[in-house]
Amino acid sequence: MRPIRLIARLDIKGPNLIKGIHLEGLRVIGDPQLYAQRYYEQGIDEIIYMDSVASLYGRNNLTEILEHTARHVFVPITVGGGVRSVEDARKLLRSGADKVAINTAAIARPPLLKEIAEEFGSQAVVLSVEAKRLGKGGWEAYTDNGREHTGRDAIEWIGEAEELGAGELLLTSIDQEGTRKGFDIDLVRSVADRVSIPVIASGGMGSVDDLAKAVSLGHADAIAMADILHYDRMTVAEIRDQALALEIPIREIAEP
Amino acid sequence: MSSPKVTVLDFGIGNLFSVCRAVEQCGADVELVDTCPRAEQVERLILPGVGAFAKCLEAMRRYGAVDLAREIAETGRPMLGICVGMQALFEIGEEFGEHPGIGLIPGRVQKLAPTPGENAFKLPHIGWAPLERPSPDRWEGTPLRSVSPGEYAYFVHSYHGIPVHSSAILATTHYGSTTVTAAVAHENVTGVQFHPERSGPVGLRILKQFIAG
Repeated sequence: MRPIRLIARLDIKGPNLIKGIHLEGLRVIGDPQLYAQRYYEQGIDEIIYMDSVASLYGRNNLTEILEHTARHVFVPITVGGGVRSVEDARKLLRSGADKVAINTAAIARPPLLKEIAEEFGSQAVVLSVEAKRLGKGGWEAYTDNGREHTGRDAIEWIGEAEELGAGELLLTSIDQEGTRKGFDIDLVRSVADRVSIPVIASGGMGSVDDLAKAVSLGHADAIAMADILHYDRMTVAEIRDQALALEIPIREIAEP
Repeated sequence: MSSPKVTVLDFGIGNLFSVCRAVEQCGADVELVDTCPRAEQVERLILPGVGAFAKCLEAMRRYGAVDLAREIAETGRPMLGICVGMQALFEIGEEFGEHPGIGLIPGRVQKLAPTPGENAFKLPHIGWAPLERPSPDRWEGTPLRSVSPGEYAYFVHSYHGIPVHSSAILATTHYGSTTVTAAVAHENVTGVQFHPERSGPVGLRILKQFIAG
């Protein structure tokens, strides 16, 4: 089986790590740098920073947090929220990001994905998709942290974005996000079986069992987790041990 | 006693923040140079690289990195190629047609072979994979000397180098049923396909040993 990555997702508002439900009702948790560093020391495979209001206010104040984090965290860091141009991407990559995640600006102007991929390589471009289940079946893509409709079919949009050079996909289920009720397995599988780029399942992890389902039934390549770590329901090491016991192929870390 | 010095070449491709930070973390002074230094100014050289082989080599050539790397190889001073910087050490790259490399390691850079019937293994190969050594004493005296076989490093790539002489292989890993060249070494020249600066404590140990010489 292919190796699976465990990723800590940290949503940021201003200087704070925050957490919501369905990407709304945001609660302040603490200093994101301390959390990122703790997860690194516990053995997380990657870190994702998402500036939850950057799209709304047309700014990105994450650079400073990122620079401090990248001084002490030596695993890949993805940053999203408010990336609108090649220059925005360059600034983040120069400040210690390995990849930039793009949602709102890419839906507004899809060629942005191609421009950033051509400049920095597809490996640096993560398409972020916020998907909400439709009553009639299928999923609609949302922007601005789950606030705005796009009227676009999420699966179709993902197909287009892959052609344009997105190298990876962060797939967030708005319905499941913050609920601890498990991932939207249908969504993850519908996407993972269709695209050839790696899919990061995000939104809903309440237990290692949820993780196992996203991998075995959803065919996810990586798992983003937030709530379960931020509220200290489990440590990265505990998640790792349980996942290995379930024979999920993840990185094994020698005891220090 | 002054800190060891590591020169990182900045020929305008990619994110060098994390490489520089990781080298600093290992106790060395980093010199990030956006114009090509003379060989005698370099104590230890890091040759970074991302993106497509030809584009990266073109940037290296324009900057002067190809000639510098050949000169440093002659001096016997430590040199480390990372990711496409490792692939650049080979003679030929096969990404988007055939393109000449620096040629310090005889061999070619080829696309990872898809594993038949295992379409679950996607390209690029992104993620952590365990490092294996070709023989029990192969890592002695190399930057991998403090790594234990089976420890994981972080990879992002679709191509890897296939040396003509298998003696150049320093480490391998597996992706599906494909054996991947994870590191090569010939005398003072080392190349790693993975990113030591993003490989947590294992990567920092490798950089530390590179710096120690």
